[in-house]
Amino acid sequence: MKSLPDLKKLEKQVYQSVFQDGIYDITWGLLMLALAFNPLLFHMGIPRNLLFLGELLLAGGWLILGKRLITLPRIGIVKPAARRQQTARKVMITGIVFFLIIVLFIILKSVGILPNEPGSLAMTPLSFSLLFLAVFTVLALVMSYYMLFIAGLLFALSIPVSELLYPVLGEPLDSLVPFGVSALIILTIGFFRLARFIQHYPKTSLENFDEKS
Amino acid sequence: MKKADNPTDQVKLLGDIDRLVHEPARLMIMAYLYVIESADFVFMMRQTGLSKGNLSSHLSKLEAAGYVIIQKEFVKKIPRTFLSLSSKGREAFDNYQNQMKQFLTELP
Repeated sequence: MKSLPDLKKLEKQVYQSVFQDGIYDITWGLLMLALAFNPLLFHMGIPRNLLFLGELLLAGGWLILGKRLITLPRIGIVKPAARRQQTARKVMITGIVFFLIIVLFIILKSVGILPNEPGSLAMTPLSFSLLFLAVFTVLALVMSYYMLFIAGLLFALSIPVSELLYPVLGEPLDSLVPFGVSALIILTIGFFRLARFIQHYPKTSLENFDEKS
Repeated sequence: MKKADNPTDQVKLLGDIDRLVHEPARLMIMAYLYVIESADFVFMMRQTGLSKGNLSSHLSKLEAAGYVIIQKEFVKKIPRTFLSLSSKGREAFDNYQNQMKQFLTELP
């Protein structure tokens, strides 16, 4: 042994093990799938509020149950270093603030306070997607969760593509095609990672430490 | 930690190395616990690749030396064994790292 283990790399590797199960990837994929199918389901007469609630419950339920039933029995629980926990708190606060800004923006635009003309204060689809991409990139780097960048990139690309497809395909295909393709890509990666995780880590007995050993 | 200038004294420094930490499996356990706040037994087993019995045995030794804190808790009615490094263990690991670094950097 001519060198000691690189503790920074080890810490990063341990932290990244939280994302290796594909559960978060599938959650992003489900949210993207929801965006793809929203206009179609809305046209079928399902109220928007009910749609959003159902989609959030589906994605949130998958995340909680997936972590509890798939991840925990296989790789157990880890509480990251204090520095990582602080970062996670900051990321969560940034995410909530960003979400609230977007909601406020949509409300202001829908009630006509913000104008819709190009070049005005209102965001064009391109600037909207660039903003999303910037936020997702920063979050991916801060969290060392690089799949978030791919999810953000696909989402950011889907917005202007949807706008371009609208005159050609009309609703609901203009959303269904770009967001659906993005969702399928993310879900495929997510399920592939999940399958690999399950194969690599079989379920283990939960009562564990044997003091007699 | 002693400071040695001539090669013989530097090699002799190795005699002061904490053998409890130096054993590869225990070194691995302590390195993992050093970079996190705490983890359960299953997580440690997965990360280190040690068997249940082997990990338990090494943890018992580290606990007896006061380097590792082992706590049994119930998470949603399921028993879980949580492991963390004590301040004594953290200090022992720091000392071990410094001693080894000092020795290894002097190698030709």
